[in-house]
Amino acid sequence: MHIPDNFLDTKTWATAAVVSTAAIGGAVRSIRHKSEEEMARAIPMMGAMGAFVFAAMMINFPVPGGTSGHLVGAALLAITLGLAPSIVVLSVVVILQALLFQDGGLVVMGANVFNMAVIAPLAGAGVYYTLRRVFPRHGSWAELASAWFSVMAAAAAAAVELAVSGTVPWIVVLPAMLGWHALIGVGEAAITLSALRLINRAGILPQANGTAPTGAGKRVEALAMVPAGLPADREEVDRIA
Amino acid sequence: MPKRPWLWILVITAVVVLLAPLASRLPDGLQRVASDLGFEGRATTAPAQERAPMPGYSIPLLSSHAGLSKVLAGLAGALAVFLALKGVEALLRARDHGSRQGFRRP
Repeated sequence: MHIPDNFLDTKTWATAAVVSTAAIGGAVRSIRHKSEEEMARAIPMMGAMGAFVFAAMMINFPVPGGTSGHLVGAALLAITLGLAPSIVVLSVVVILQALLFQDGGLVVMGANVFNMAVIAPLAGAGVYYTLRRVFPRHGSWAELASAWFSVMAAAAAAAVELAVSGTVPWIVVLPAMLGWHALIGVGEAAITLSALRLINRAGILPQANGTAPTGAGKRVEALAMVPAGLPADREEVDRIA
Repeated sequence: MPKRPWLWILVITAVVVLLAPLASRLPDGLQRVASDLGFEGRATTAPAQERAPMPGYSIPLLSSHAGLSKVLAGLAGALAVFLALKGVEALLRARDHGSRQGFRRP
């Protein structure tokens, strides 16, 4: 999902850079306006959660059809830390990936920040909080949907940038990007749910949504834990399998 | 709740980095689309970025030990992200205290 240099034209990367800078500024302002209590929860975890998401992004998993994907972590961070801290954390991760590892271009860095550190957390947080409000008893579904939509939103943003730049026509790039990322998003959802459960189980982040999953959510959770090799509820898995 | 929750997350992070050599080498979603639609070749690297210390998550001096190189690059990267964000955390706290003192309600 990291766009290299020369894929985007000047007006596109420049616009993305301006919007990303404004979004980071807005996120910082929003964090400063949070209550003392909220800040005391989220701020001390930003460093460690950022390091975790960076590491998880290195683990490409194969998806059917000869492609791979990796975690973006936008939903994971938005759910555990909140929207504004997740924007700041992912921006730092994306910027360091370009500067230290040549992952994502230097000129188009603003576009990569926009896709993965602004749009993805916005979509993830939007879907999560909307679903939690509408279906308060189905937290696991909200987490899964949040992760999947965050990846789709980032992929759509990247496709739009490529099309607007004239690199490749809309009609081919949008379905291609969304098609592959619909599969990659399933991996994102499984890893996000596993990581949230691991975090909850260890009691590391008390603010992570701690409601016990019920019904279908619990079954999905049990299955999602298996590929990640995490201690799933054995009985639940046996019952489904 | 553990006393230093972030320490546990760092331990999990280190474990995740150890899995990095097992990561899939298939092209990712965007690379695949770029190659299918024939614009993969447009990609360039800015001269300033040529000097990136660990291109492609590897340490150039350890090119003969690909797995070790990737793990060490991953640990260095995770540490860099952690320290950078610790700096951000400190800035957010410092600025917050300043503004709170400035706008203290009666």
